[in-house]
Amino acid sequence: MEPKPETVALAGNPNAGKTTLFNALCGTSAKVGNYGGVTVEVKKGEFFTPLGRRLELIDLPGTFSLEGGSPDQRIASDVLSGKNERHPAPDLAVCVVDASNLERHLQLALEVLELGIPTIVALNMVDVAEKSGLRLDPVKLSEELGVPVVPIQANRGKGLTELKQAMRHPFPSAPEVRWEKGNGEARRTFGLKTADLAARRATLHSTNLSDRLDAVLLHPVLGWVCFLAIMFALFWSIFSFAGIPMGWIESLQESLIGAVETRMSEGDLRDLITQGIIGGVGAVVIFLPQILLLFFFIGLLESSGYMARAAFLMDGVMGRAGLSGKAFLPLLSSYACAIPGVMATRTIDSAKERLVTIFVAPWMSCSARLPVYLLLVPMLLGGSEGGTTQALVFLAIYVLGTGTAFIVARILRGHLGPDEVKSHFLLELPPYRLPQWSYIFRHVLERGWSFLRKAGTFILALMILLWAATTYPKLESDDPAAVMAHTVVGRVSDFIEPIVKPLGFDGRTGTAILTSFAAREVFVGSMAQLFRVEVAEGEEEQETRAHIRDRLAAEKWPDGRPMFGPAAVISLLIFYIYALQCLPTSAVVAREAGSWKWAVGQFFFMMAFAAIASLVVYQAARLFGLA
Amino acid sequence: MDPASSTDWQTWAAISVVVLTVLVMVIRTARRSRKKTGGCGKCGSGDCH
Amino acid sequence: MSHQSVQDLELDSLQSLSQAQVGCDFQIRYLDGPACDQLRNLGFCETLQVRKLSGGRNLICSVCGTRLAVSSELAEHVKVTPVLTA
Repeated sequence: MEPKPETVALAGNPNAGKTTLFNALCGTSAKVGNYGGVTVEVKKGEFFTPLGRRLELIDLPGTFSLEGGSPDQRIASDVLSGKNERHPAPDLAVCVVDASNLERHLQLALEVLELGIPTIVALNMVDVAEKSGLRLDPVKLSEELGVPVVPIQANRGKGLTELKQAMRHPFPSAPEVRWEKGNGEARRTFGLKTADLAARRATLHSTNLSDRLDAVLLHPVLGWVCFLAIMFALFWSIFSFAGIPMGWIESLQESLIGAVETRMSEGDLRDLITQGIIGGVGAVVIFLPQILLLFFFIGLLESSGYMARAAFLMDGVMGRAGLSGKAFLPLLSSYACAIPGVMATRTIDSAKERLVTIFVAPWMSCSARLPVYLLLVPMLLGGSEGGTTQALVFLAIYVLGTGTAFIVARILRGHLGPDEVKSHFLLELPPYRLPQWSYIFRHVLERGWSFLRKAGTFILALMILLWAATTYPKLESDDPAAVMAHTVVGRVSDFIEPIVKPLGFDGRTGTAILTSFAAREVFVGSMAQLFRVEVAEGEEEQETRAHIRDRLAAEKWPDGRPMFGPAAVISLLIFYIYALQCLPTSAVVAREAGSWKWAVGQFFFMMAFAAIASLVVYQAARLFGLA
Repeated sequence: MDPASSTDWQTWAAISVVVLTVLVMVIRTARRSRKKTGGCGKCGSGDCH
Repeated sequence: MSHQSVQDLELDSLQSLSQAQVGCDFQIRYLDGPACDQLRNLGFCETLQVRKLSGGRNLICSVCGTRLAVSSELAEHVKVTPVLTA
């Protein structure tokens, strides 16, 4: 039996390049961001030394120190000292140190040395350091610390062979600690002295391109203008650029349906394939371009370094909600998907602020709601998609969700009371750099593939089941309404209708809402199936979004009123803005908040809020004659 | 093949697909709840960061 | 001047980073209170030189080539003296 491979832990400050090094060694696509705290979980991988020995590599969360309260500091500290149950103490630690920031980055390396683990220092970004006028002396550094020091450029793959060679057997022994063990003051003084010897600075402060950019981007007025412009451009491009590939997907869908219909005679299986599978899953997959674009732009902002500036600007605004600028990235990520957003809250030092951020994160309208918005918003505006008015309505939807979230956050934060140890806003503003395209693209593709996989499995299954529920049991009759009423869905709809009618919905819409509790994107597919009209033989059925909209717009209540007038559409939109319809999110919330009570409370609070808001809006709109 | 029996085989085939789907979902849910929570299986976001 | 007087002068010019003038260089003299643990954990400590780049609710300063945003509340606890540039 092969002996268990030895483990090597990668430790270092955020932005030191640990994850870049991890990817370079293991060839995987772990996420890289230029905003402190992007890696918040422990990543594991494997690589081989030049002599063919297999080593297991663990990428720890970036942290400045092993002493401290935030969750990512504790993870790093626990793993390195062997206190973590899932990851035993490593056999070797590689401290990734940013050569331009030796005075600060060495502190962590020294803390690791104090733990008595065999250590190698990987001196990263040596090219950037030299360019900024630093004169590096890795040999001197190695002498002073008593451990091997290997200069590398992780992003260019330079120095990796030398690093792997330093990891040959036997591992370098744990060095002698050259300051008073346990004395933070002595350790700091030693660190500063060593940094001074190993990296001489030409000038202490120099103005560079980053500073010149910051003069604009962090300007009290100009900075805000730029920020709003960037945010608007981000959302606008997502909705516009995505239009073209969405058209391709739609045509593909139509031609697939056409192909099946010409090759198969009429029957249940053909219906299942065209309406259930192609129609249902297609209605979801068509949003892939939008989701990819959203993740792409967030990756771009993170990688370039702008995200930290955004957090800085937003700190004042977030302060009004009882949050800090550090909550900005988790909340922004939640616009793509609340799950990584909730996990990104690990970088927030204040425990109570963290809980509040987790609680309100689902109200940043996530990408799963986009299919619903895109179906409904044009119905308010007279039918066609695109255009500035639509963009403004979307903005209003996002602002509504975000605004309510901030108000609730403020109330909740006040309710929770102050922290035991007050935490202040403290954020490193990394230098701007060109985005690392390969990592962004790899990350976007990874997300896209996950989305497709979900569509191809979970959503596919749901659509098949939903099709069955709308088809069986069958009734021999010429009246399509009676046939529908006889099916499983028909009966559920009848049952639900009295409950949802005050909100402006009929039983079928209510059923579609129920199905979307499994996955919000399913709403569109469900509506397509639930509202399909029996077509005459020979007529082609096209399940495009515009057609679904047309059918919905033509639907009427028994008394002749249009079913999807402005009041009902707005009510439905409001419901989707506020309802928490994602069990995976609840599961992650329970884990991150440390208790199921938070997740359950959040679910019921948001459900009640959504229902009441929907009710109030619909009834008010009716009073004003908008029904 | 006359249309009546064509409909019959299609109906049976469709129902089989549905039943199969239910079975697969039940088995996967049972398997997942037995595994310890380590990630977010269904959310489709792949690596949870 | 005697050594004692120089020290007195320095103590007299001791101010908090939030009070300090924008655009000037300072040396961190001491970090006052447990709030500063956040700073220490980041690797910032006494004797480092800092240049204040901007003020306000969150001020921006440059320490050892790194740009840092610090809330003015926290900056109240950072005691600095001006560095006399020749």
